[in-house]
Amino acid sequence: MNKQPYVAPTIRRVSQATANPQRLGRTPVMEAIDGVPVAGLLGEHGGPLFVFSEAALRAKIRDARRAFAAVYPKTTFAWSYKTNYLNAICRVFHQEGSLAEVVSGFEYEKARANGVPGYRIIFNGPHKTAGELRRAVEEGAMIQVDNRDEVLALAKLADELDREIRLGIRVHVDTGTHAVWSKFGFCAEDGEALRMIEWMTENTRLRVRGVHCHVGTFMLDAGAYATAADAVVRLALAAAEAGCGTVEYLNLGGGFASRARLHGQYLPPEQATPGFDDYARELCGTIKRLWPEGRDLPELLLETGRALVDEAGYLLTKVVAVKQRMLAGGCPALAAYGKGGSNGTLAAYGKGGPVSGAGGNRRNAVVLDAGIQILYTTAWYQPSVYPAAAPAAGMQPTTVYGCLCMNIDVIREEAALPEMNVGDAVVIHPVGAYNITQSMQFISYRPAVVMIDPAGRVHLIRRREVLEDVCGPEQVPEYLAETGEIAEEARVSVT
Amino acid sequence: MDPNPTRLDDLMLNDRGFVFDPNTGESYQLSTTGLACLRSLQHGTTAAGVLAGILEAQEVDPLTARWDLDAFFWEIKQLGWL
Amino acid sequence: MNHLRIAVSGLHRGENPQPGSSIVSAIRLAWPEATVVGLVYNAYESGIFAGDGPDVCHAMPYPTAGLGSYLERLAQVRAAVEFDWLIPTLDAEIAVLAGAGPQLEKLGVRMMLPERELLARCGKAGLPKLADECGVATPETAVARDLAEALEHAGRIGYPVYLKGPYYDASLVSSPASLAAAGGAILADWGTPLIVQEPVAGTEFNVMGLGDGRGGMLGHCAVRKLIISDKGKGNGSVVVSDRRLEEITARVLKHTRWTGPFELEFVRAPEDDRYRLLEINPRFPAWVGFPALLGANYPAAWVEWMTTGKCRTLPVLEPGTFFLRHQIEVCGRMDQVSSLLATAPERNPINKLTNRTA
Repeated sequence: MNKQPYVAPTIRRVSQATANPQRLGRTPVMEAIDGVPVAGLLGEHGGPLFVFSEAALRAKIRDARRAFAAVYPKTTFAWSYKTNYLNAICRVFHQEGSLAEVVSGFEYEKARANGVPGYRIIFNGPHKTAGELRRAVEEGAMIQVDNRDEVLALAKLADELDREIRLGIRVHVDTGTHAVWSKFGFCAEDGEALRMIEWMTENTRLRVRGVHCHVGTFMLDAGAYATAADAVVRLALAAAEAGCGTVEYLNLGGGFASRARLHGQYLPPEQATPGFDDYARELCGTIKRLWPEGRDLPELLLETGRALVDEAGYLLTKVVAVKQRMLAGGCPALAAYGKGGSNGTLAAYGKGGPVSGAGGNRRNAVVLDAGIQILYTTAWYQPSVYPAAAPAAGMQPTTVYGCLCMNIDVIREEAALPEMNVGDAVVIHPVGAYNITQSMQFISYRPAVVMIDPAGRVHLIRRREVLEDVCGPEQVPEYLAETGEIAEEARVSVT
Repeated sequence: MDPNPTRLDDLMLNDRGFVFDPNTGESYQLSTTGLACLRSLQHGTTAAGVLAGILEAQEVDPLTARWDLDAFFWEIKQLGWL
Repeated sequence: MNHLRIAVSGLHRGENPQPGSSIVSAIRLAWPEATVVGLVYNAYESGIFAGDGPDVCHAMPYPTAGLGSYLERLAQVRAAVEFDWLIPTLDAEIAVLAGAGPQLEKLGVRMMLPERELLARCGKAGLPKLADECGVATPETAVARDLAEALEHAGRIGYPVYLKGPYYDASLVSSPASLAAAGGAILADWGTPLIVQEPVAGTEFNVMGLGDGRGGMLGHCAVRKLIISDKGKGNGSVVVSDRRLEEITARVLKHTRWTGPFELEFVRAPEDDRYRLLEINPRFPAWVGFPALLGANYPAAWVEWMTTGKCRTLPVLEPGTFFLRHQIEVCGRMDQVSSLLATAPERNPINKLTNRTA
């Protein structure tokens, strides 16, 4: 006889608050990525495993270029190294014509090692050492000057090299909707930035040829770029007016949102996230409207990272334990719609109801073999968790825990998942932005990373870490070398 | 012990695995296997018999099935149904 | 017209009633034989069990689960019971469905909603700008992305202030501490942004109606709130006729070229006697059943407008006519709840609960 797939005997209390099994919707199954089966990837490379789709990377950058070229042909993209500086990923973007945007000496070295000439590097950030600045100047990089001390260092360097240095000035702008990133650069609105440009022109051999403003990250309101572009254009025109020369490029930074979902974001990304066309319209429309007719439009530089790489990245991981979680008082599921929401009775009945013994107020939970040490972005975003095989039973609200021996290691508080069993694979997406660069080696090794090329071939682009990667840089003082004997002595002295 | 426990036979249930406990006014949802187990118990099947039923029909090892079934029995005992 | 088959959401009529049940009643008044499908978010929405309620109900994913989940479920429901029209009634689901007309049409379902861009402009965050363009006053309003910004705005506007979520929830808070508590709850339920609004003391007026999409109106009905619940809801209102209010309404409709149902909420402050626009709701209000009782059946008119491009005349209600909200009990059985909990929609949804001793 053919046996049925196993479904455990369970009982759940039906509270008024949870009386809708459809409430979280259905999570689709993701059996393959770019046609390559998830099970095969895990079988061949082990898990957890980061997977990048080269086709998705190229499609994104091409879509972004198309959107901007349609309204502003003089647009150039620069790949934001910090978002993901795996060499294979960087090289895809460089092949697609992107410059490199780096924010440290380390990233600068990485870009040069990837074959990017200095003049195709934008050097950003609040910390650049004297040595790094010198190399950047000598190699013709586009330095975006951030602060007084950097201006002074560059001014001295210009004198020493007996030449002019062309650079961009970083400014910050109040867009009215988001916190001002005043950590960076000079204020564009109160005259500080203009005064700096004038001062540099009059007192140094620094020549400001670019204005750079990065309004913030994950901007769901494309309109913020209109405000930023407005301030940047006005500053560029005022600088020219003041005799400081022509600003040749405007660098509007990055910050375009990917299809990730913030914690507490009510509408899903497909509704809430602007497209490249929306950003292009706001940004370029403003520049074209304000730029004086008859004068050459400045080049537009963009350093968007997250929106280009996030959705190309997946994390494949497996269930290592299945649990039931007791929920104290009420059901947070209400947060999704009902709590204090349109349904008045929910507030009356559902919220803070007593935990009534068995069958009541429990939630499925799974523990995965990956944790937040390699999913740093889960601090701000809630990634989707897809089962990698067709489920035997319906969807249940499920807490998704990571593998760390830390209570904070929660990947999703409540995801819609079928009843899972140990060994079942799941796919976490999107995870392409920042998780690789911000992941830490903590408790376990960092996983391997593969890239699927457009022909469906799988390439290892970073191998899984081994003990030597972690311990290699360490040194043990000589007197601690013989741990076995010391332990023996310690035990004797205690007894 | 509740002086007036719900008898297994009093439980109102249907083929969807929805259970209404007339004694407490609480409602419950059973999984398909949970429903089959409860119906078996109502028909006087022993715990061993219920386990044998699961092992016969489903793709599961005996120890896993035993663990889950014991947890299920424990829960319905808490409800006073056993 | 042919046999009407229509799906409606938002059926709860408790303390804080949703519009769906009133719409269902109004449709039943016009077409007693219509097939009405209830799309519900909870098995205990009271309208499921109303005597003139839907013929059949099915549970839907919360709007926050996204358009994909919504459409997938709608296709399942449509396979179980056929319908041709959909009237979404809740702000959160309207936000998800706006712009989804083509996808719905692929499922054989049509609806009419204002364009997404217009919805964004008339949403709580965009309202001050829109009102400004229309030359209508609004209370001082500021949009905050987090609690810190909300505290800053409240400090500038001066306590007390109203704190509102993007779709739902409003609290009057009178101190930074209460703002933080209320704001935290709103953020947890609805996400950003938080809207901080100056409370304007005065008389509250609401205008509901139908926009023809060309800047005109198929009809409208203006009322003044008579009884206000402790949650600020109008539990009774009286029809008024005020040329200024009509003129402002017409101006907003003309400027937005509004399509379909709307409700404008105003407050008239005694100190300057000006109307201030508080909110624009892109849907019928819960009190849409009131004009229908007196022969001004807005849901029926809208259905006619959508199906034929023409509609019945919507008579102007006599000033002085009023409604009171009258809560009654409706009855259900656990069988019905069980059927709503079924994962797959069923054609014959009742599955009787039995015990073995009965």
